[in-house]
Amino acid sequence: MATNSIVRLIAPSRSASSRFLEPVSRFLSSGTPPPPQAPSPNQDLNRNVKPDQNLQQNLQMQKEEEEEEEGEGGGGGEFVNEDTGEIGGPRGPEPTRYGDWEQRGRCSDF
Amino acid sequence: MAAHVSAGNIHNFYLAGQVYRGQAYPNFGFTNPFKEPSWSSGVFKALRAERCGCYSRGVSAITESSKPCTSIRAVSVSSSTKYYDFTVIGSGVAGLRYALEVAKQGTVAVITKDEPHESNTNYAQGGVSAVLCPLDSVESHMQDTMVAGAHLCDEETVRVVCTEGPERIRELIAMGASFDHGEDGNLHLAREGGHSHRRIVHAADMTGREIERALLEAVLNDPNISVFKHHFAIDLLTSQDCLNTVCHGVDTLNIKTNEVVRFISKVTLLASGGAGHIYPSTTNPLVATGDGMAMAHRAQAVISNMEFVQFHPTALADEGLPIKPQTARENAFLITEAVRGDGGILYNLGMERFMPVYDERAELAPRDVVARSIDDQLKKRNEKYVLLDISHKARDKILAHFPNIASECLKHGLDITRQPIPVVPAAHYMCGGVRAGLQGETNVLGLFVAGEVACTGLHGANRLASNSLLEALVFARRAVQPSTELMKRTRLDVSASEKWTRPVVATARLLGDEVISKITALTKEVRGELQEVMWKYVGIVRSTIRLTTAERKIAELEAKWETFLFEHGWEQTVVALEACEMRNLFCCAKLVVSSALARHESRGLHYMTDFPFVEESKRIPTIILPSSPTTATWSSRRLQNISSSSLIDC
Repeated sequence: MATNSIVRLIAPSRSASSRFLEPVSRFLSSGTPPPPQAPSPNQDLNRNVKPDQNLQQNLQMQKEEEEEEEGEGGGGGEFVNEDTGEIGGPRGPEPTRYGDWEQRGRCSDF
Repeated sequence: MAAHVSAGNIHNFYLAGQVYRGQAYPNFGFTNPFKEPSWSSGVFKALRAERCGCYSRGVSAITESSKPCTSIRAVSVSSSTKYYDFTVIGSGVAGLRYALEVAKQGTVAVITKDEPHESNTNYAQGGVSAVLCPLDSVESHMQDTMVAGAHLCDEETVRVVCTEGPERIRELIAMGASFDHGEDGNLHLAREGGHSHRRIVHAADMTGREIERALLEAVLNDPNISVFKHHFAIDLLTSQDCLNTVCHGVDTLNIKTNEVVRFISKVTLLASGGAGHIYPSTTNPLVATGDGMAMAHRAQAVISNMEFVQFHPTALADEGLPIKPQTARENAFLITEAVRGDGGILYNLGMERFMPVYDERAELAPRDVVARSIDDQLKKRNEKYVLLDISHKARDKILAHFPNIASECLKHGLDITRQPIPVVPAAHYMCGGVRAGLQGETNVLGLFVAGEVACTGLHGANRLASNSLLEALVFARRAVQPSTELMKRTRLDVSASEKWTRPVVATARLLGDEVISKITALTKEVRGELQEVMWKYVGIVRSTIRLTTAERKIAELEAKWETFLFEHGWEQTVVALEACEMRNLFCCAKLVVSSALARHESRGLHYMTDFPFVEESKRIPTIILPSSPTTATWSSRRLQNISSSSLIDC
């Protein structure tokens, strides 16, 4: 039956790339290559960081720009996506480009 | 149908009263576990059978004549008892869609515990999936669904949903839902993870909200539909009819007036949504406390596949924010996969990059792998959150792509261009629920289910993106015909409405001010404790030891809570909103634990360290039968005990 053959095709093998069960110590002592060098993590976590005035201003400016664009939209003022031809859709990069549905960074569906 | 209770989940095969006699339920229990599961056959044939001749004459009688029974004019004998042809519990997409259809045949009451729009539907913003592109095919949608579901889906259910989806979308549009189009005039279809074709219909970014808006507008304009908001459903009203349990309506608590309102109806649709709040971190609104699943379980309905709880791996963790939110966040703020896609790195609090240990693809591994990895780290290190760092990327790019995250974090003192984001997995969707046949029917006569509360066989072990709104639409529609047929065959005996003991509202007059406030405080505390136990022991990475620990701890917690209540004057039939929600949360939590213990394999969303692989022989649904009345706790037992002899003249 079709279903059964599909199962056989994609049933995860034990040597799948997902080595979910490997403990950290085994990974470190094995001959496998280390992961690509991650950029050194920011150690600022505990420091009391004052909200960056520039950051706030940047976010505010960006918001205002987008609102202006909306007002200038052709015809009825609805946003038309140049790449896809979609009318009235979300601006910016394709919301589903990484699989989930995101709105300016917040995931709203997956 | 191979309805199978896996050894290990001996969660009561015994059914109360006269429901099962001899071979009455041939397809439940110890059937051949290797047989192909088929949801639509077997057991549910029993539902289509006519009620036996000795059906409770007192409460409801079948007229075998060809003349249909008259529809109920919405007459109330008293304001505290209402009569409708159809009662719908829940006002999300499933409930409203069904209501609009059956309203053409009879009177409808829609009961909802908060404002009508307050439902998981409203928060489902992405889209609804359907085959609407000529290059797409039902087979492809089916394939994607079954792959996502780790092949635990019921094939017939999947076929039905994928086939009927497009028509349901067209109907929604005809009802006034406004979806995005392209310049060519066709619906714009997006492509989400797991889908082989573009097939997501959406309304900008707020599809669920748009669907809810359109349906609600139609419902409020329909003269045959009465919406009762702020009515919390307490328990389904049932009786035993020789071989079957029959549903006659539901008792509710009007939260605004603090009064019990009883709804008697010929047909009841349960569309009460999910149970995210059994966990401390969830995307669900506060109303999602598993009320429907719990009520159905107490009413002898069969529950299925509760172990498959979908989590999102990276919700913003408030504990990690420099300035904590003043009030607890009601719905989780989910950080998109795009952050990882764009180069975000995950670290534990020891600043170790852990993803490469679990998967070669590191942060780009599938979402479920990431969720498991994060959960594993948190449990091993006994920590509350991990860190997602995008600060190494160009500042302007971060702000351009993720302004929502940037501003939300900034509000709480965190600059994501310079610091990592604290994240923790959040419970999102229940793939399991009340077991439903292809028409939304359950093993309780007169009780239908649709939406997240149901387990239809569509999602299997894991839900495909945007299939949940679709499932709700399809099953709400499919339940209409059998509901209507049943309604026409049923006559109500109004005088029978008082045979069930009426719940009593917990008031200061009844229990005393001090007791009420102590119970409220304890209930809140116990709720938090239950959520912590669930997250700690019934999270994403599970094991038999952890699950049995959870079982024990939940039992102790429940006993402690119930004992306190009953020692302070609470009685079986006393109700209050927080206590009833707590009762439902306990019930759902136990259903999840029992189901999880029963599945001795890892499949889809259910991962067990002691059974880490998929087992072909276990590719069958998990079934939970009702609790034995002698051992059930307050959360697993209906409030009233109807003496069947008062209703049945067998």
